[in-house]
Amino acid sequence: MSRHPKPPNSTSPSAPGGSRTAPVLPAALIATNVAKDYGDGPALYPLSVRVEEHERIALIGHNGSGKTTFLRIATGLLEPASGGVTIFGQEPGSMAARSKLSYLADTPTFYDDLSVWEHLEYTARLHNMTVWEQRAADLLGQLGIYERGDDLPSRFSRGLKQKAAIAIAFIRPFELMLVDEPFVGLDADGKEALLDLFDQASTAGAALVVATHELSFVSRTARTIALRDGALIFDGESSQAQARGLVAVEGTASQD
Amino acid sequence: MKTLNELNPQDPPIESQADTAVVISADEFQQLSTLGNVIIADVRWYLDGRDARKVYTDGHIPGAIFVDLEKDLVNSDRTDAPAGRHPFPSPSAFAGAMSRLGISNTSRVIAYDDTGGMTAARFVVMLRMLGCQASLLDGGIAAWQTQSHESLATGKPMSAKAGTFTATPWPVNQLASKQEVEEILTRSATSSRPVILDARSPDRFAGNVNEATAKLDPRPGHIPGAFNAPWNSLLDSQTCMLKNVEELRVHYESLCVDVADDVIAYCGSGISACLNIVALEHAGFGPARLFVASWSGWASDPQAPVEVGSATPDRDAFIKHTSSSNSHAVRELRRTRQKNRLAEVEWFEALYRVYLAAFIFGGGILFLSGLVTDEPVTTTTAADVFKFGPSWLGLAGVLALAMGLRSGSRGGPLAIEEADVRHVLLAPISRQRVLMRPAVQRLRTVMFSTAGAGAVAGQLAGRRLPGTSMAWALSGSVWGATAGALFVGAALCAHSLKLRGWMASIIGAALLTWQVTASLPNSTLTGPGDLQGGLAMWGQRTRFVEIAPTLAAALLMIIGLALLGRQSLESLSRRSALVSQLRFAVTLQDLRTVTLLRRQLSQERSRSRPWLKIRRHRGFSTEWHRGWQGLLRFPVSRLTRIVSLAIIAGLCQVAMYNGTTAAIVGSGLALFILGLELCEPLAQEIDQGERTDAYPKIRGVMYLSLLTSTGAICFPVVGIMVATMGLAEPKMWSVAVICAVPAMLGGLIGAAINIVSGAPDQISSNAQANMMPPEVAGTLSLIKAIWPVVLAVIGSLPMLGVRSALAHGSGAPAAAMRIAIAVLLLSFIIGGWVRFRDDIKKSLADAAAEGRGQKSRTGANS
Repeated sequence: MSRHPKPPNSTSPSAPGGSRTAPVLPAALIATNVAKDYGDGPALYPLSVRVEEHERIALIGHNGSGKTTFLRIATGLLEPASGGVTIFGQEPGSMAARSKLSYLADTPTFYDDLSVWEHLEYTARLHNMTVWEQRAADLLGQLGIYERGDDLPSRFSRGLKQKAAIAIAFIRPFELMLVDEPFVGLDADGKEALLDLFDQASTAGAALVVATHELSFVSRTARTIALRDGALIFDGESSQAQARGLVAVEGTASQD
Repeated sequence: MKTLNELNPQDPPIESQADTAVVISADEFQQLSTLGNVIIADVRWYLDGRDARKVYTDGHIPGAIFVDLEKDLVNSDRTDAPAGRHPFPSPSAFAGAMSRLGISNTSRVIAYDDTGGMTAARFVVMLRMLGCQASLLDGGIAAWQTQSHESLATGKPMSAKAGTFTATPWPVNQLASKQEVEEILTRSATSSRPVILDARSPDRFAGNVNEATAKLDPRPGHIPGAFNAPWNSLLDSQTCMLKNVEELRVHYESLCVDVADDVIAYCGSGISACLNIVALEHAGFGPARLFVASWSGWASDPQAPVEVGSATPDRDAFIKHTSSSNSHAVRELRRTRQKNRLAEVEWFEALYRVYLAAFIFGGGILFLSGLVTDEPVTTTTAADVFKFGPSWLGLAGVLALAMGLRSGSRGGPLAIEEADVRHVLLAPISRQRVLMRPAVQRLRTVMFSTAGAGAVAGQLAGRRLPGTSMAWALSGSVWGATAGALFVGAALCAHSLKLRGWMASIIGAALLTWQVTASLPNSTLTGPGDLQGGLAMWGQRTRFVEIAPTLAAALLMIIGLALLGRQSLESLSRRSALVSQLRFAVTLQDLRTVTLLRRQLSQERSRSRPWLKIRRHRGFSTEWHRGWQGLLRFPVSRLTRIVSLAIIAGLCQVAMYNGTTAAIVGSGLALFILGLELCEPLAQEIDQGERTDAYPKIRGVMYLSLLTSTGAICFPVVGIMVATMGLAEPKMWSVAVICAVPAMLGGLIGAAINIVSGAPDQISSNAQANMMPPEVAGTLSLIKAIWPVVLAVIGSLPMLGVRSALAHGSGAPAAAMRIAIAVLLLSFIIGGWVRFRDDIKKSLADAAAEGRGQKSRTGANS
């Protein structure tokens, strides 16, 4: 790792690209009656959700409640059966949407033949970043995998893979980040680092939608959306969701 | 019983329980009883209702406390019939009773009675279950009297100083519930050999009803399959002392305890069965479980199965029955799964596939055999065939052997399902028995296909050589089958004998070199495969010594099958997941997945550290840089393969130059595979389609840019090809470059097309494919699989141009150049397709949608 910049000792946030563009568009994500059916019953009933810019939302629900389906539709990886989603007013999967939306999938995937550092380089450059080395080093340092930067992530353990995937999701500029179960497999330090990264992203003005059962994250959000069996059952203040026992119930049931 | 501490780790550690003898003699008792902390427990109790407390008052061993079996060792609530007459007390009730009696967890308890242990054993077993030090006084009160010559003490029990006994749950692993016993009886897939011991009298066991038994047992008989082990048969009828350890062992061996892996003891109500448990431990057998509810609980359920009559355990039958029932279970499982699988097969589709395969392969073979001129060869050529044929054809056998060794050293050749590894191979069933079937299946498949290939080759040869086609086909199939058996047998043996990878490579390489040397024209050497190759000549002449390789293959196979039990579970489980995916990928003609899985099977991975670290240069694209980062991580094995393929392609070109037109297929295929290797950066991008779709870049542009580094690395590869061609045929130097470049280009575009068409559509929608009739969909998928290879073959056409130009006396380089330019144009078209594929598909889909819309509109109008 001698070539690469060193991570600073203090984990001072260097701005994620989210602050670069001036916000002009009305909302980060607008879903209008978006529904999905995989052929064995509805996976997602018509769902309408509006995510404002800078907003931070916890998305909770059992396994199979439709969280991943919703996130993948918003990312453009799935086509809704009906209804539609816009990302900053653009169609999901369009070039404009892709440059603003960062998606961290539930299962980390990597190129077999690139190191963590090369993944970061490749992703950063494809997003037209010219200066990225320091941010990459900061991210790896924060996540505690700086020393593994030159190793192939495809051979990592589950937890390390997740950390590498987090770094890749955060290296690029974004104004909206959709995250699917990011805490799975992380150790305590990793969770702490991820929570910090989310905070930094929020400070920089990005909107966040995180599907998670992690209480420490839900309690740091203002708004919680709960799905059950593909249908919206709650959309409101996180404190209320917690008070109504939704977080505990919807959360613990799927901690399997 | 040592597991107890693991079960209740919160308990204070109990020391030296393990080395507390379960049975002590009166002699040892005398020495122990003088120590502090020893508690002597009088556990006398009578089935006939005599008052045990009065018996105690009349005379007991001095210092003994009285343990009331009915009150202290049995749950006071006995209304629950299935729990039996004497269920265990609750842990807290038991702890309370012990504390009251002055017994602590650390106390050393010696229990006695006057039956030889029938009731005292219950107390001993209960305490030992909780990890306490407890022993049975062998021979009981009578033995003590004989040994000490002292008189008994009389009087009521003294009130003891309360002990501290912690309430601990009864350990479930040392008890058997009624449900568990039922499961043992009904379990079809028996994974263990349980022995159930009934400690009641032979009369009660057999179900002979008389006044005494009718009072004790709710129903006559015993638990089906149980063996009768009456508690008093453990005792010397004179002294009431346990028989010696040797006798006890013989006794229990006659009851198959030594070959059982689970012993469950029961009796009328969980009292006398404890003597069996104590005696088993005393005789050195593993721990037995107590079925507390026993017959009183079992028979209280009118539904519970019952068996009557005495049964003499047949040791041989027991061993045989259990093992055969195990493999019976495996067979049963296979049959059920096969049935389920067949139920899932879409019959129409399966038949269609068979029909398509038969059509294409049948047609292909007819076509190919038509290409071979049927003109019989000259006698000198025929003589050459018989002279050199065996050693050349023997190469196949040697190659099969070498490949088998290699495959075996890497964990081949068996591939069983992951679920089988998890559930069947981890079960206590003979692995050899389980693996026999997959091994035989594997042998069958391999031999069938190699025999088929041999038969086709023999048939084709027979058309030109003296002798009937039939005889040639037969001998060809024997030759092929032998090679197949050599492969499987060698692989099985290499795997079971844990042959190391490098050893397999060395042995294989040595054998191959030997055989190749032997097959050189002027060689006088006899190769190891000559006999095997000679088998293929039986179409014309028969030499019985040539049956030896077939016998050797059979021998190898037998050894392999005999050693099946030594197959490595690690390799089997690693391969299981991969091979099932591989098969699936092959049926889908998904070449990329096949490549990836094959790499995983042979554990070929990218290098962690690249050969060379490269700096990014301004002006070059991100994709170019990324491509090199990947290419510079190629492992040695892949580089070797690339070089070998380049050499093979070069040699094929030489063969074409010299007149073997068919070598164009070899050249095309080699370069196609080479292209697949070199297009790795592009393939990686397509493997991670979700990532690609998330980048703010146009897919087609990214794909093309990723091919730039591949294009650059082609130059040294072309260099290797040209060098091979020039060295093998010096006359070719002038045309080598003109032919090698388009050939490589052909392989590259073929591979690129194959890889790119493996990419999913930007938004996957299989509605379109579903609407196609199977004939169209099947043919399309076949064309999709074949046309990249066709493109790769087209790339090698310039060499044919050279040959025809030479034949006609015109300028060879010019002819080659003309075709090369055509190939170049073709590659531009393909490049355009890669770039605009998404747009083309989109506009086609739009047009189709529009067409449908118009159709439905007109439909609505009319």
